[in-house]
Amino acid sequence: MGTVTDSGSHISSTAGAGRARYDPSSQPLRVLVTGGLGFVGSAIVRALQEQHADWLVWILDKHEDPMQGKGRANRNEDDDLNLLKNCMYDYVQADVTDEGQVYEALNLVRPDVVVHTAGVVPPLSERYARRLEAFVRHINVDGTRHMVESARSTGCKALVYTSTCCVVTDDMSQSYPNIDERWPVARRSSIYGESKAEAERIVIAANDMSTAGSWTGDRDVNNVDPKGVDDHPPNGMLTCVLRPSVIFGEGDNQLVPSVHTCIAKGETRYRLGDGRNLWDVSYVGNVADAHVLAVENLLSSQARRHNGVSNVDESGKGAETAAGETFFIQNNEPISFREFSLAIWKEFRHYPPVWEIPIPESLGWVLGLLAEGWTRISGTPATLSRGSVMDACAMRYASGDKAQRVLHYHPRVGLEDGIRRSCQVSERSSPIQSRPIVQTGGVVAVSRRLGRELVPVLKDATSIRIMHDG
Amino acid sequence: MPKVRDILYYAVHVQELRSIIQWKVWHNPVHERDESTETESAKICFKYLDKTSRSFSAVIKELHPELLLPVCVFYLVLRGLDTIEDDTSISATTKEPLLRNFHENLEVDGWHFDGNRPEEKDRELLVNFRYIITEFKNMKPAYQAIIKDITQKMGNGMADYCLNAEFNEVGVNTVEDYDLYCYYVAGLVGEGLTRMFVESKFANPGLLERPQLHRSMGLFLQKVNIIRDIREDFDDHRKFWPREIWSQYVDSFEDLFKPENREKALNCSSHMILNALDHADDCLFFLAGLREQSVFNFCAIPQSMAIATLDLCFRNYAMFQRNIKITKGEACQLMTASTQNLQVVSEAFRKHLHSIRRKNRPEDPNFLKISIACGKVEQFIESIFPSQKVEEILAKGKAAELQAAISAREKTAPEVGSKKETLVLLGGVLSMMLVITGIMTYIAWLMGARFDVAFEEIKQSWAQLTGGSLFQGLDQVQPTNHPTGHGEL
Repeated sequence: MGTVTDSGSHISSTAGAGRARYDPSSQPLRVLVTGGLGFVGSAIVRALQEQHADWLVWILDKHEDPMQGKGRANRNEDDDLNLLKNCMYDYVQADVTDEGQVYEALNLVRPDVVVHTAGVVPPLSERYARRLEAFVRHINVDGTRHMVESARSTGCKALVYTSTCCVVTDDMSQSYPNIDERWPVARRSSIYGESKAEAERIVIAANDMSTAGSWTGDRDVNNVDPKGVDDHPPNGMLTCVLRPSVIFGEGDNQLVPSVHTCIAKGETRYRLGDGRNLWDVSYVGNVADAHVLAVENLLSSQARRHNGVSNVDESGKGAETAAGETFFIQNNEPISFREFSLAIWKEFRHYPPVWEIPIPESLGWVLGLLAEGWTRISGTPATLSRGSVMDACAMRYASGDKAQRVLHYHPRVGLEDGIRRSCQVSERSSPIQSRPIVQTGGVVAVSRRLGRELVPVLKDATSIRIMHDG
Repeated sequence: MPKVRDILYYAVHVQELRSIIQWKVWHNPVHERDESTETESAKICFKYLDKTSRSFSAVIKELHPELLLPVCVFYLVLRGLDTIEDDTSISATTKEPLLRNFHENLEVDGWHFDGNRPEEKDRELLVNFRYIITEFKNMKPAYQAIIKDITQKMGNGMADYCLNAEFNEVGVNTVEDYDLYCYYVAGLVGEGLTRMFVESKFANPGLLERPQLHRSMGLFLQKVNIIRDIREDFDDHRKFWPREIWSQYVDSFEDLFKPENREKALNCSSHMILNALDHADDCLFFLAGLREQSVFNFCAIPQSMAIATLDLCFRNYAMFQRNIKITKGEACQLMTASTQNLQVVSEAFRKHLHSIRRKNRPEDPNFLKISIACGKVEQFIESIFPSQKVEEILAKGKAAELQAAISAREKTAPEVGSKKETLVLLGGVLSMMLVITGIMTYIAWLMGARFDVAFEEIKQSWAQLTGGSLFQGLDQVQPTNHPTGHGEL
């Protein structure tokens, strides 16, 4: 493997040159994953790499590359918990809320594909409150707008947006059994659901199905003016939206840990509602697979359009395009939240007593209200809130038919296997990890120093690790 | 005269008593046998039907006249085959050709068999088999061909098993063997019946393009019987539970019945139940393809009994100690539900799935798998009978928008002004009326009044009067009896 290069000393034109495995004469496809250091983003990076070893994966994240900071900041002492272990990627640091930074980064990388995963999930205790509304909107809505606009103007061909099923299901006054993509987006839900819904609209509106002239040859990446002139590709950018349900897996610091801590708090014998209402959950690796499939679909739609072929392949079978479409993604194994929790506790060899104490939904709601008050006074977040009560009692699961039909998505890792994997990781780490704000995409939006200076860091994560180990 | 125990049971379980009354009083068969037009041999066939089958004779006799005799003869032919297979006094060398060639006897006038030992309970059927052959030859050639084909397949399957020394020694080995065994004894019946239903145009021909569905119909029933009869079969030295499953819990099959292995036995039965649950959604899908009420009843009743039996067996140690059965009240309730439409049957399925999930414990090694299997069936039910229609939700959204616009203009607070005395008086009268209404309703309910149906109708007409006609128009009113599953077939 090539030499390890220091940060900051390389400019964009040499990107990729240090990678011996790429033939410089060919143009590897460039995929940029935003929030790629985070829980979902890193899984997508890994899946892209496993399934398309010839693609060049870039991560755009607000965080500093942990590999770079390792020696100084002493993060990631435990390498088993390093989500990007053995992954090859190039890295660019930028904050999605800063339009200029985003444009500069995209103009530098000039990706063919953008997977926009960076976003913020407010913690449960704040989820149904409005205190963080402006903050959440800034990252999820404005961040998406910056991303979409920059991607379009730097010649990106396909953009996949990681949304959430909450855009529909966070309106708690309804129940959502086996919903599909025709279901309307909730008008008033949670700050999170509303912000993601608006971002979805931006992404779908940017889907450009128009064909403009013929397109000869790929852009020569190395000869692109680093300043970046707006050269629209002949064909417009295609976009689609994925709506995963609650995600768990290795690196999940919200769902599994919070269920796990119930053991220590002695809360496992209480059951909210009847515990039978079905609910969806997704293993992170499956969500990552769905992203790769969506990217593949958009790219083949582009190729068909480019070659002037209709959306029907040789076998006569229709190849449906995902462009402009929205998909619910989940494990397609709806169970109840109670059953999911019991399965997690089981992994930690904890079995609640047979005589559960049922808390009716209405009582739970009142208790949730009190708990919220307590949280506000004391400042320590409680397990219970009105939102979490309604969450646990609601019927919310979606049909996976459309994703199966169009994307050919089948969850590879079953629920049982997924739970086992994430609990093994959770067990090794400390059970209670309280962070002020929890992330999905990787942008943790606590005020950190904004890297004003754009620093492309060319890195081979593996060799860095070896170097530090040695 | 009912037993004291039964009286006590139904005094506590009024709901079940009501179901029995409801079934006995209100059930009208869709079709009734017309004995006056029947031939002598047909009457004899029905006599043997009653004699040989407890559970099937009633449902068969309510079938549409077109299928009545064909299904009855089909049943008796298979029963005859079964009687030869069951008889341990016949040597394997005699038995094998008998089983393999049994279908040919159907063409031989006057064929009968008296080689069964005297204690074989259906011996008489084979002794007088000539009457069945007479009726067989009277029916449409298409039905004859189906019956003959299935008889041949089943005879060969049974012969394979009876020659299989391993099967006789250790019982069913792998899960694959288990499925194959169930296919021979029950899956084939499902296939034959489905072909007859399609032949008579009482079923969607698409059912034949998905053999998985009718196979599941048979396998589900057979597997549930094998699970429930574990004790009885064990006492008769028969082992149908596959070794591949029980060996994960105990070292020898006998150990399942030792009291110290209680938990292991229960976990093993959970595994068996999980295996059977896999067929449940196929069964509902199959039922969606039936187009005639008596055929639907014929197929649906055994299926809902099966899911109820599965529920009864789930984490119930009594099944290892004695033969357990669902109560008569429950059976009547299920029969009432199964003689209506698929939606009602699906509701019964859902109820028992919930009950299974309620009893499911994380200590069970198959805990999560069972929950997922139940969830899968529930999702399937939801997909054929959505509890909310997306079109209505979309329409409601529009209506809400309009309403919001209107109510923004009208803002009037209702005035509350009243005298205490009038209120007290009025309250007294009202509560008295409520009590009387309650008593009357209860009596009506006990006698079998269907409030749910009445309520549904009121709801529907109300919906049509108000929102429906305004925002959706009458074309939105859908026929309730047509599950959407039809379209997919």
